[in-house]
Amino acid sequence: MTAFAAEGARTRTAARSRRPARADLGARPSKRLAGDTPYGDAYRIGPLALSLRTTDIRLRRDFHGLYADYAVAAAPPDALLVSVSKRRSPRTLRRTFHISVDGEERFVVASRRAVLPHVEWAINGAAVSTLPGYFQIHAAAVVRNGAALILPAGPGSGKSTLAAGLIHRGWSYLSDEFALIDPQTLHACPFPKALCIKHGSFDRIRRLGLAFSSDQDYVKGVKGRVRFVDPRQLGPQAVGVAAPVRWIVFPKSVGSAAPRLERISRARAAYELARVSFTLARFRGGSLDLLADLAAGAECLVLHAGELSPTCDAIEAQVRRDERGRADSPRRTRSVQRAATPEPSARLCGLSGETAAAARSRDALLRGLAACLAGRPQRVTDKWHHLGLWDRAACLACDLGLGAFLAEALEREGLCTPPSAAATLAAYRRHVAARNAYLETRLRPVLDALTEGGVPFLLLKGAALNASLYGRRDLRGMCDIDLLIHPGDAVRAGQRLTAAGCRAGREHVRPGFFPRFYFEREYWTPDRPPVRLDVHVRPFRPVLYASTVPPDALWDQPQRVELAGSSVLIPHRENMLIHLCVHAACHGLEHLRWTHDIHRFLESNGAALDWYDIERKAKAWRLALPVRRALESVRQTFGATGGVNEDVLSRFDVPAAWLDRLALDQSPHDASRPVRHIVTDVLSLPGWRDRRDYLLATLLPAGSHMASWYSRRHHGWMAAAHALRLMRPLVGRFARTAEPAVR
Amino acid sequence: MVLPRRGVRVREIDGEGVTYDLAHHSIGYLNRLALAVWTRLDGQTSSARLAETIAEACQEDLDEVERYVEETLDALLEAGLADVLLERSGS
Repeated sequence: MTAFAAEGARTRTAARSRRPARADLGARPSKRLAGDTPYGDAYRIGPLALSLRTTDIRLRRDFHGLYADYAVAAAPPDALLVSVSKRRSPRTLRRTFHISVDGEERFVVASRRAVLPHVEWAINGAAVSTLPGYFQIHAAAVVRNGAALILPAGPGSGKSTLAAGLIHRGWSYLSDEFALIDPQTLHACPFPKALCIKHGSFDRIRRLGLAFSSDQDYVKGVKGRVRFVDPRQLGPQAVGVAAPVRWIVFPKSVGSAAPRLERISRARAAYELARVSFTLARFRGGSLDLLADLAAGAECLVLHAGELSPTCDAIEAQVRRDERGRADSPRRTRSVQRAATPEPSARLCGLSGETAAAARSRDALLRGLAACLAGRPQRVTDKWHHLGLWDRAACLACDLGLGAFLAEALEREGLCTPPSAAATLAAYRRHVAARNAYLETRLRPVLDALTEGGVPFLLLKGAALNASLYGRRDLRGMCDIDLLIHPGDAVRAGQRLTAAGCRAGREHVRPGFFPRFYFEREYWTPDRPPVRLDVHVRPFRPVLYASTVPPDALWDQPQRVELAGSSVLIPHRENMLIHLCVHAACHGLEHLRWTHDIHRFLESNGAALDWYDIERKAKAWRLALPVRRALESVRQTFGATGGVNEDVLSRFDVPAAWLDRLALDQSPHDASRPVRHIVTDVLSLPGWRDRRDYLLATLLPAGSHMASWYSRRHHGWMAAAHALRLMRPLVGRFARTAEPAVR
Repeated sequence: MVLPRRGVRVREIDGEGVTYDLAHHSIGYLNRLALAVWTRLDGQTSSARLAETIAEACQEDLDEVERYVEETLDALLEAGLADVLLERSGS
């Protein structure tokens, strides 16, 4: 009688974290960033964003060959920085490849053929700590008909080969090494890294008629020769979407015997899942409930695998039987029971299920995050601790660009953070520092070019705040650099930037639309990865403000600050506050990061602010409404800060014209409601001639603009491009873009 | 007398159990009879009495259950999931 089995199933993260960190990006950014012609690419593979930086063209080509579909224009702030550098030993002259993630050296390999597998390995290792919001199981995962099947097992058990076999039969791919489980929904989520097949399975893959991404063998440490299979090449719907886990199949062995599947109890399955989990300790007691719920909602089986094809037959036959049985069985609703049942952690701290669920909502986490940033973290962090929400909160803070601020607030209050959340926040902070250092380094030649060309400019938003308010690199991340120039300098600035190697972004609807109607032009530096510069001729997007805000509005008494070793100008204190408020209001006050900027600005400058001057300018420039809305939002979110009280708010209580309200309410929706955007802009323009020119430009754009809507060139391509553009209002509803339709 | 160690949580699934040790982040599996033993550990009931109760509830042979209960208690203690409660002198 097997009575009891207890085994320490500790996560591998601890073992990995003991690996000595031989290099730190924050410690030597200039050396890394000053490398010769570094090629870099940004990708978002499932939930993981990464930026590959290397001077090795072959590696870049091979990696891009596997992940071309996941390439993004620029690395988001939360991207992992994966860098591969070649070095030669001065003593032996032997060449080695050094693979680092976020500045921490993970592998050093001598053979070129070992580089790509180790880059993959390094990314997988980093994913454990970079994706703290997911429960991670060492498993392959596939999905069909909205139901996921996971194959949890250790290395060498054939799960990748099995996944490839199932994808070949019409399953869609979710992941190879990691099954990412969303703790709220228990859905397996896609993380479509390339399948890594070991040499023992090459023939099995070939017999199925599947192709490797290339005929080249790679070398992956003790695993020997490996090749990659690009899941996109396996079928038209090769990569699936998140789905509930319906089958948990543990592959136990690979041999020539006839394959068979046997059921195991769900408790046993939960225990076996824990043994191959990477995040058991991170979720603490929540792991138990999550694994139990996962097993309870699935059919749990052990697979004694044989040849690939019969093994896939056996799995599919079992799946068909279960599907037939499930159609008549109430077990189908098991996975949704999790949401209805009060969670054990909630019971422990005496909260009802409903209260606990409310505390887990995004809004509640946002409120908690704001309380922490406002200096009231004690109660919130106690609740996070009791409900096991620390990791979600840390993850959310990083997603919102506030991870470093949260870490700073916790440090200031001397609060203890659970190790996993602390690691997430610390990693994010290092990343912010590295990214800001990179942006500043790349910004310098551009600023020099403008200065030499006699183009005066002001820095706005993130760069201005980092230089004046925060004073350090590892707090506020920047995605781009915003510059304000005089409208009359627009052409000259464009020439200087082009001469400095920058390329202009997407063409406006017609030449001359910028700066006459549109407020900014986008440029990209010649670096890899490039840095985006938004060159503004006016500080605010709504066309209405082009006529109400004078061209030199933010230019009086600018302050001089140091950034990237250069002396630059930023708007004066009062002007800066107006700009921050109106900018946040024009984006619907939906970004906590920007309201937090205002809160910090008020905290730091509140006593010295000349509210009379702010009131006078806001009223004269018809900005009283957005300023009031922004200050009110900051007060509601962070409490009374910087002397913003009812008296101050009442200064901006002036009746707003219907056009002011329309322009402000429409501004956050410019991308999703292009027709309303055009109507609002036309109504905002002062003269009939401007209105006519604006309408002509937006309705009949120039060919240079239409070229960006449709990449192919053939007879009638313009008509196709116009059709695509007209469909934008429909497509825009589903597209995740914040880019205005008219620019 | 044996009682469950503080900080060890158990979740029952289909009559079997999975344990989680919050201090050491280790997980364990309890089959039906082991779960029956675990749920009756209260620091007051002797192993003999425990075996009697389980044998009666499960309608199993008492000798076999007694041996089994002893093995389970040893395993639980060895795994650090339960503690021996020492009787205080004079109490």
